Amino acid sequence: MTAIHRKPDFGSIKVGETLPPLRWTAGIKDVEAFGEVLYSKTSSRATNPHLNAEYASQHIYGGLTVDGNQTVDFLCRMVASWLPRNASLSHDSVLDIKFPNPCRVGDTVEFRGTVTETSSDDQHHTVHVDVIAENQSNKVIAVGRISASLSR
Amino acid sequence: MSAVEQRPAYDWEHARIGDVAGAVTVEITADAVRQFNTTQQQAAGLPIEPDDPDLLAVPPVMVRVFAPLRRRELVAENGAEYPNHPTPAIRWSCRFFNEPKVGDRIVSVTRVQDKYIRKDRHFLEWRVDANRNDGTPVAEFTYVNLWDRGRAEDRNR
Repeated sequence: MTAIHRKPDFGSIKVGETLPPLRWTAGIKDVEAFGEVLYSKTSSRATNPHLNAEYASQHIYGGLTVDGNQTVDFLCRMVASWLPRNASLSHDSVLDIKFPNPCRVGDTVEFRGTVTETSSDDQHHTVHVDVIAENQSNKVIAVGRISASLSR
Repeated sequence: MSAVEQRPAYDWEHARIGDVAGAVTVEITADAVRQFNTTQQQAAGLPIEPDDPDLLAVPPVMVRVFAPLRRRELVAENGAEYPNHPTPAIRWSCRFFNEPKVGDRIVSVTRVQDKYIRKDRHFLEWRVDANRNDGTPVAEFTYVNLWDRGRAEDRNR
């Protein structure tokens, strides 16, 4: 179990600070469980490159890959579990994530983040975190920025 | 030949900026949010406490559930056939305006926002606007997919 080290308040967050990393091995059970909560009940498994190994083997990456949404969700959880409780990633917030390489089923992924900027206005504070996810071969599978807001 | 077989493939040349899918309404339910959070917290090895109110906080990625991308529906509504190969995600950008809550009924619309070529690869950019059913904006996001079959070297990436 990953321990939570939550920041107590906005004032305790410093630019340059790194977040405790999150690690995940992309097991097929986790990928399938995510599919259960993300995809509609009517979506076809036959043409899903995250769930159908035979279909995936015949196409671009030659094997099962992790849905990018699952990768982004882990990045969000890493950030959300570190920020103070009054932070929100889904109110006055922005996520911008690129997927330079596929995350393959079986990969071991490390999710990391660094605070790059903080700002404040009359209503809320904002914390900008540059985030990255790399697999065991140091290939970047996701990179970008999550900007969260904290109510004042 | 049936009507279905006569449909053109929705390849990059066929796609038009502005192609749109009709609006869809999805309610954010407590069960769906709890299941989503529990599934991902377990996978991440993060703690789960059954009474934790955070289990009912709508995570950002659930925008993909309550404001679904609906590419296949858009393609069908525009009288075409969806490509018969995967279309990998390249980029996801999402801006939230107002926090989605359990019980919200979200109305969303999907459209083709852009199409472009980079390094001889073809990309489609989709946009989804999500509002509460009273019109309050919740989120807007863009999603870019590679629309080619891929190259031999992609198998080693």
